[in-house]
Amino acid sequence: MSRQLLGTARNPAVQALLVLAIPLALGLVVGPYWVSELTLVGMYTLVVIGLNLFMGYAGQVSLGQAGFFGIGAYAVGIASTHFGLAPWIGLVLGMVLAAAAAWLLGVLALHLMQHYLALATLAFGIIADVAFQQLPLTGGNSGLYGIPAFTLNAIGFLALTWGAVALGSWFTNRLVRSGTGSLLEAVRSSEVATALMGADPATVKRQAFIVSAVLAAAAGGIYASWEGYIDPTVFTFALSINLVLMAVVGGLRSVVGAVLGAAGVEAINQILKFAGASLAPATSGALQLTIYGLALVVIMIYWPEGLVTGLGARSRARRTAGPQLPLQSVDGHERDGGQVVDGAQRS
Amino acid sequence: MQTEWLLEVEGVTVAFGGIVAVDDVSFRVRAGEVLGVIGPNGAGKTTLFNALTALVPLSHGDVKLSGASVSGWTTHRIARAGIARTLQTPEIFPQITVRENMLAAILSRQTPWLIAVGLGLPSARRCEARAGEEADRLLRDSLLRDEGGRLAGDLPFGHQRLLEIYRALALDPRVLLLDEPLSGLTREEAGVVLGLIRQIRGAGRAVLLVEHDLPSVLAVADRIVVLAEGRLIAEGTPAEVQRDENVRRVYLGREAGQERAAGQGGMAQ
Ligand SMILES: Nc1ncnc2c1ncn2[C@@H]1O[C@H](COP(=O)(O)OP(=O)(O)OP(=O)(O)O)[C@@H](O)[C@H]1O
Ligand SMILES: [Mg+2]
Repeated sequence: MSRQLLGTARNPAVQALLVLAIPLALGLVVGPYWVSELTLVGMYTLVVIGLNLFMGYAGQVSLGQAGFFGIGAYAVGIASTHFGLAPWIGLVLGMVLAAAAAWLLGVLALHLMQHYLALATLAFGIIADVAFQQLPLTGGNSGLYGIPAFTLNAIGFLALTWGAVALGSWFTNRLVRSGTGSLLEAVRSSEVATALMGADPATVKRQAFIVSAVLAAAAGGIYASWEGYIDPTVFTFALSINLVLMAVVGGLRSVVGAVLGAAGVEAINQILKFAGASLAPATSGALQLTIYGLALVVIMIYWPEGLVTGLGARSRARRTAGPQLPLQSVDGHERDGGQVVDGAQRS
Repeated sequence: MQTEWLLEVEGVTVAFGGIVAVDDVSFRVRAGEVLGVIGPNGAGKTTLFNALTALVPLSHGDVKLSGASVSGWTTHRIARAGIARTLQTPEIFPQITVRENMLAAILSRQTPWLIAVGLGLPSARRCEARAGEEADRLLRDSLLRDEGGRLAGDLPFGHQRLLEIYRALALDPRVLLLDEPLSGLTREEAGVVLGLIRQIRGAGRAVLLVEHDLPSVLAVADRIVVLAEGRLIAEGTPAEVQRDENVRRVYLGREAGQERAAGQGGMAQ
C-alpha cells in the first residue's frame, strides 16, 4: 500500500501536479507578501532544477547561471519596451538565445578545456553582467522600466511560475528516469567507460548545460515581467552563487530537493537581509556572500551529493544495510586500473 | 581492395615523456580469431589497448579497422566503428541497475536528444522502446538474467566483470578487447567468460585477450602475441609461442616453475 503510494508520488505527472498545486493552494490562503515570496522561490526553483540536472549528472558546477537568467529577463524587457512585442515572444526568444549561448560556451569549454568549465561559466556570468551594464539596448545601469506583465495578477503570476516549475520538473523527471537518463548517470559515473560504449560525454554534458540555460532563461523572463523593472544589479555573481547554494542545499538529482533548496536559501536570504540591515547595513551584502561561501564549502565537503540527497542516501543505506562499500570502491578512481586511464586523459 | 584483416596494428608507438610504453608494435587479426596478448607486468598491454581506443594518443603508427585507418579518431567514434573494450579494473555504473547499465550502453551507440526525451517526442520514444527491448533480449541470454533489477554496485565482483563484458557486447562490436577479464573471477565464472569468448569468435568477430592466466590463454587463443618492455617479441600459435626462445627467456622460463606449482592460476601475480 505505502509502496504503491510511493510509486504514485514518483510518477512525473503526479509530481508536476503537486509542484503546481501545493504552492498555489498556499498562495490562496496567505497574504500578498507571502504570495510574492512564493513566486520568487518558484523562479529560483526553476533555475535550480536545471542546475541540478547539469551539476548532478554532468558533475560540473555552473557559476554563471545568473547570466542565463539575465538573458531571459532582458529578452522580455527589450522585446517589450523597445519593440513593443508581447512578453510571451520575449520569453521564447530569451530561451532560444540562452540555448545558443550555452551551446557556444559548451563547445568552447567542454571540448577545449574540459576541466575549466567552472571558470568558463564564471567568466560568462561576468561578461553577461557587464554587457547588461554597457549595452545601449539594456538601458545600462539604470535598467529597463515598464516591462508589461503577462496581463496577470499576483496569483496569476504565482500560477504561471509554478506551472513553469511543474513543466520543468515533469521534463527532468521523465528524462532522468528514461534509458537516456541512465546514460546521464553513466557519464557522471565514468566518462571513460561511457566513451568506450560509443557515447560522447562532452555532447551529453553540453545538452544538459543547454537545458539548464533554457530553464534559467525561462525563469528570468518571468521575473522581468513579474517585477516590471530590471537592472544589472540583479544578475550578478552573487545570484549565481545563491543558485548554486540552492542546488547544493536541496541536493543534486532531486526535484523535491530543488524546491526545498530554493525555499530554504531564500528564507535565509530574507533573514540575513533583515539581520544585516539592522546589525551592519553597510556590509550586509558582503556578509551574505561570506556566509554562503562558507556554507557551500562545508556542504561540498560533508554532503557532496547535496543535503537532501545526501541525507536520503544515508537513510537508504541504513535500510538496505551494507552494499554501499563495494559501490564506492568501484566508483572511486584510487584503484590501479583507473589510474592508467586517468593519466591517459590528462595527457 | 578488400582486406582479409579485421584489425591491423602498424608500428604503434606510445611514449609518456621518456618512457616508451609501447614500442613499434605491429600485428594483424582476422575475423573469427582470438588473439592472446601476453607479457609480464608493465609490458604495455593495457597501454596498447588504450592506444587502440584512443585513450592515449599514438606517438607513431596506424590502426586500421577493416582496412580503414581509425588513428586520430576520438574514443567514442572508434567505439561506434566497432571496437569495444573492457577495462582492467571494471567500471560498471554502480548506482543504477544492471538493466539500466545495459540501456546506457545501447543508447550510447545512438543517443537521442535529451530535449526530445524529456518532452517525450515520438522519435525519442521509439528509440527508448527499441533500447528497452534490446536490453531485455541481451539480458535474457546472459548469466545476469535474474539480476536485471539489482543495483550494479551490489553485484559480486565476478558479475560486475561479466556485466562489463555484456555491456561491451551491446555495442555489437567487430573487435572486442578484453583486459584481464578472468582476474578476480571464480573458476566457474572464468569458465563462463571463456565460453563467451568462444561464442563471440564463433559469430565472426575478433577478440583480443590480455590475460595473466596462461593456461586459459593457451586454451582459447588461436594466436598469441608476446609483449615485453613495450616490444613485440614473439607471435604465433600457442604451441609456437611456448617453444619460442625469447619468450621462454623473458616470460615463461622465469615463471615456469611457479606455474607448474600453482596450477591454473600460476601466471597471475
Ligand atoms: N598514463 C601513463 N603515464 C605514464 N606512464 C604510463 C601511463 N600508462 C602506463 N604507463 C607506463 O607504461 C608501462 C606499461 O604499462 P601497462 O599498464 O600498459 O602495462 P601492462 O602490460 O598492462 O601491465 P599489467 O600486466 O600490470 O596490467 C608501465 O611502465 C607504466 O608505468
Ligand atoms: Mg594492464
